[in-house]
Amino acid sequence: MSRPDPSLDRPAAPQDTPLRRARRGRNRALGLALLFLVVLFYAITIVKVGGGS
Amino acid sequence: MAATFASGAGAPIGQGMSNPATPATASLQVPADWRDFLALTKPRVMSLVVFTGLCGLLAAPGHINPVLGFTAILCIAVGAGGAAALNQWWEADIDAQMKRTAQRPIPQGRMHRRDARDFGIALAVASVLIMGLAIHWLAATILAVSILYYAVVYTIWLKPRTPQNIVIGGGAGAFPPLIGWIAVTGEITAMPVLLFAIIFVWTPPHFWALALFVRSDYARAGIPMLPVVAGEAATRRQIMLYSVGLLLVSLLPWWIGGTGAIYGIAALALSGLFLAFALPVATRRTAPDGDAMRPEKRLFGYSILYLFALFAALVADRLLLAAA
Repeated sequence: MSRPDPSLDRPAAPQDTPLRRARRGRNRALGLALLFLVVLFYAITIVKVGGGS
Repeated sequence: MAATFASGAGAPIGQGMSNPATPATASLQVPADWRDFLALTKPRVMSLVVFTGLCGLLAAPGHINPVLGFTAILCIAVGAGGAAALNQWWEADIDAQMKRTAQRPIPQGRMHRRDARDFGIALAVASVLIMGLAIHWLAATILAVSILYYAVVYTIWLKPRTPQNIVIGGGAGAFPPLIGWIAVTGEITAMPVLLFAIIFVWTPPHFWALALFVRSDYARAGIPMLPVVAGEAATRRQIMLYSVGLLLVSLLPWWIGGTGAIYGIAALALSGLFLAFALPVATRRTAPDGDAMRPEKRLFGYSILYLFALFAALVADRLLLAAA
């Protein structure tokens, strides 16, 4: 009697579904936008505090 | 107004909306791609908004820190993007019926309608707040007025009701140079109001040239554009009338001494050419079915080039005067 395939015991690798791809793209875009805002606010603060306005 | 507003809200099109031509939204289990959100902001229209806003900012007397200048233009662009998203949220069922707009994310079923609404509101609020906090509140107030003007006065109120929609609604696209100018000076004077007036008078012949060659689209969607309601002959006469008005208004900044000769000569040449393109459109009789509408398409194409060139001349004039 042959032994069962050991790979069957492992949890299935998460598939790269369209849903996951769309979520990942959206999260990246949102992250980049937030990062950009942080840098922009920092620059504005420096200009305002430095009297550059 | 409240009842009208509520009728377009919420449900994705095809589920609860009355338009049977709207495609099913089967793919909505997948969240919308970031590219669809970008498309909601109408990037091509935004390029003209950014350009005229930047020209207003550069032509204004005075100085603004480059970081703050960049922030002001960014706010104008984001505000315009938010207004465009709200426009597509409201008009999703109309867009689905028109060839020119049927490929947009909501009619294509790639995005839930309420996502477009929330995205539009978020962009609009963020742009006004940042403009107020970073630049000043007069510019922020005018930005807020411009967004409400486009999203509510034009899209929701005027466009479906009157053939003069473009005439009054043209004000929405005329705000960017005014906001750019005020971001630098902090006050409203004759010059930025004239820049507003130029785009205000430019908008009707620009849009009516387009409306003449996509007339059947507007008729199918039930939008009372001038060619649909008043006919081609009346539209052609109006195009000529506004083109003459544009020549006069475009010369006013020079006439009041707000610009130098470079702008004046450019305005005269560009507006004269505008009239030359409008003339064959105005003198044409009703186009037969299957007509290629070449004069109308040429006028529409030139009208976009005209606005870029006129505002570029304004900035060149200012920079050369400053250098001299």
